[in-house]
Order: sequence, then C-alpha cells, then structure tokens
Amino acid sequence: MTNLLVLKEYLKGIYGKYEIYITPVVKFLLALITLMMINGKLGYMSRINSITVVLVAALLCSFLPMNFMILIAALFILLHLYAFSAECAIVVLALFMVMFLLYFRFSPKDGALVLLTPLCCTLNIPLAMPLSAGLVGTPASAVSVGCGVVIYSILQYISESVGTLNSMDAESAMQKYRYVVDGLLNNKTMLVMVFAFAVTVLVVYLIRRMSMNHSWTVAVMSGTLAAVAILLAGDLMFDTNISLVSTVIGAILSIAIVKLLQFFVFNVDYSRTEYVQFEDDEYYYYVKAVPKITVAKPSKTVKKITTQKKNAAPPRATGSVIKKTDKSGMKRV
Amino acid sequence: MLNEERIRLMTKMAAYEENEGRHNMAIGNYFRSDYISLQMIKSVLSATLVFAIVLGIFAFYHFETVMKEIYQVDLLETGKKFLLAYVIFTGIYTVISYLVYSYRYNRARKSLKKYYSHLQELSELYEDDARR
Repeated sequence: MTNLLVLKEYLKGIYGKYEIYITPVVKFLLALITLMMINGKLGYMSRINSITVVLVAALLCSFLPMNFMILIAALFILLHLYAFSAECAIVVLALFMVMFLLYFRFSPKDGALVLLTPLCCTLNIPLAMPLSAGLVGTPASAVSVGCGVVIYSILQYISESVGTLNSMDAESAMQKYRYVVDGLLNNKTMLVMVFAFAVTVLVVYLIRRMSMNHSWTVAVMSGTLAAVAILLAGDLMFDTNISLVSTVIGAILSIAIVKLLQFFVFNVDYSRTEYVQFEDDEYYYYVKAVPKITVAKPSKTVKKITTQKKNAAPPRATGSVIKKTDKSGMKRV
Repeated sequence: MLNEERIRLMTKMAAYEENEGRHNMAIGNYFRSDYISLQMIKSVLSATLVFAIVLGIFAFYHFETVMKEIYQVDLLETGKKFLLAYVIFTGIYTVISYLVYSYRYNRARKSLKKYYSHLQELSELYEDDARR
C-alpha cells in the first residue's frame, strides 16, 4: 500500500511537470481510438476510412478543446452513415441535434462522458462510465451517460441491420427511414440500459456523499449491484437478450477499473504547472508556477515501554514496539 | 523592487482569470435579470427547434397517413393540439433552464467575490509599497 501511495505521489509530480505534453498525448490517443472504432464499426465511406485521415483528425483533436473531438466523432459517424444510406444519416443527425439543443447547451463539459460511454460499451465494460460519473460528477451526469448509451445503441442497431437495410430497394426510402426510427424508439435493450445506468449514477452519487467509512467503495459496489439487477430484471421482463455472463464479467472488470481510477485519478489533486503572464506599472511578469512535490516516505516511530525502577509496579511489559506509520494518507474530497 | 507576496497573489489571480475565472467573468458582466432572460430566450429558441425536428420526424414517419388525411381532419383542432404540446414542452424546458442558470449566476458571483477581494488585497499591497 505504501509503495502505491509513493507511486501516486511520483505520478503527481510527473503530471505537474509535464502536463503540457501529457494532456495532448492522452487526447490524441483517445481521438485515435474513438475514430478507429467508428471506422471499424461503420466504415462505409472509403474516403475517411483510411488511417491517414484518422491520424490527421486525431492530431487536430490533440490540441483543440475536448468538444472539438466530439464534433469530429459526430461528423465521422454522419459521413459514414450518409455514404451507407441518407435516411440513417438524417435520423442520427436529428438525434444529435436534439441532444445538443436540449442538453449539451447546459453542460458542455459533459461531452467527454458522451464520447466515453459508447467506447466503454464497445469494450464490454459499460458500467465503468456510470460508476465513474457517479463518483466524480453530479446527478445530471446521468443524462450524459444516457445520451451516450442512446448513441451506442443506434449505431449498434444500424451496423447489425446492414443486411436488412441493404435488401430494401433504393426506392423504398420511406421504409428504410421507418425501420431506423423504429430501431431508435422501440429498442427495449436501449431503454433498459439507459434506465439501469441512470439509476447507477444516482445511487453511486447519493451513497458516496454519505458520511460513512468507505463510502466510495460502498457506492461503487451498490451501484454495480443495482445496475446488474436492473439489467437482468429488464432481460426477464422485455426479453432483451442481455447475456448474464458477459454482464457480470463486464461489471467485475468495471469495478476494477473504477477502483484503479479512484486511487490514481479521482481522489488526487493533480495540480499542474501554470504558465501565466501579467504586468503592473513597473514590470512584465512571465511566471511559471510549479506545484510543490512532497513524496512522503514511510517513517518509523520507535516507542519503548520498559520498566526502569526496581520495586515499582509489577512489570507488565518489556521490550519495544515498532510502529509503522505513513504520513501520506489518502485525502477524502 | 520585486515584491514576492504581490507576485504570488497576482500569479494566483492570473491563473484564475485564465481558467475557471474566464467563464465566471463573462457571466459577471451581466446583471442577473439580463443574464437569465438572455439564456431563457436561447432556451425557448432551442426548444422550438427541437419541437420542429421531432414534429418533422413524426410527420415523415407517418407521411402517407398525413398526406391522405390532411384534407379530412379538422386542421384547427389538430393545430390547437400541437400548439398545446409545444407550449407545455417549451414551458417545462424554460423553467428548468431558469433554475439552472440562476444557480449558475449565483455561483459565478460568489466565485467572483473572492476574486474581487484578492484585487482589494492587491491594491492594499501597492499602497503599502507606495508609503514605504
């Protein structure tokens, strides 16, 4: 445990020093994975289905704001769908517009959740997102996660029914359109997942704010249980074909990931080096403010309990007790 | 002479101005009523757009039925129904956005108050310097 805490302090130090490089690299990787997954799943437009285009787009995303990455991802999805069938593209565009206008106008910072939720769903660790959102976010994050699930479901639905859509005539545009809208509105699996994830976010959020020991762990566990229970109940009620084994394995993996994140990311104040400039009447200041690093090493306290005088109270204990303490306890936020 | 205490304070303030402060200052430039009403107008506009999109999707979905029955249904009655739905939808959305934005305005004001107190402190430091 002590080693882990020292490692955490060390990572904090590295982040504080090299934040200016680390953030773009992380963003680049995130964009690369997202776009490659979109291409792998949809890949209908050959022009953007090449690694060069993906690399250029990811490079752009690495130094532009997070929301630009979402815009690029949405654009990729729409272009692929348009190349496949214009009806699909119209429905998905309408869906994106509604989400943007109703919700993301309020909380533009939650965009990352919408991007990461489909990613986690594809990687079969869908619970990681609602659990993390409940731990660090607000109850409103439930809506973001829900939007992410809706996007994932509609894309999954379209990519699964490519054959059906292809077999429809080009003239029966109406039929295709109806098929896609039906897939969006009558998708029981999606509804069950949205409900389960929203409940998870709320459960985790409410429990982690309680004043009890290990509230974060309890929150993660009860959130996971709630989600699995709802997913399975939904499976029984609506016959949604949610597999028990993969749900449970995914849930366990998600817990592991969230615990790891909790230790290294959520509870830690990753303050970074700030570069600021300002002036007063006399000077121009170009300030580089570096956060102080304190790697606390475990210290030993030696406490001696000995009986010195004879004929004093009968000896109770002799010898010494070595007590190990570490100063770098985790701070609860 | 360089005054270290002053530089520390100014650095903190500059970092605030660059990060979360930028957003708060944009809000702080408005009066409360101006800010909230501007945001509510935006909300009404986006709710209207969303309603139009949903209506369009719905109409296109039932395109044949709509085309067949357009001359038979009581247009005034249907129009009233849609209008009612629109008013209810926009109303609820606008109320929610009112709550959200008034909360945000208060939060930004609170955060700016701290900033202004730092500003005050800074000007006192300068005065001290001038006296010396």
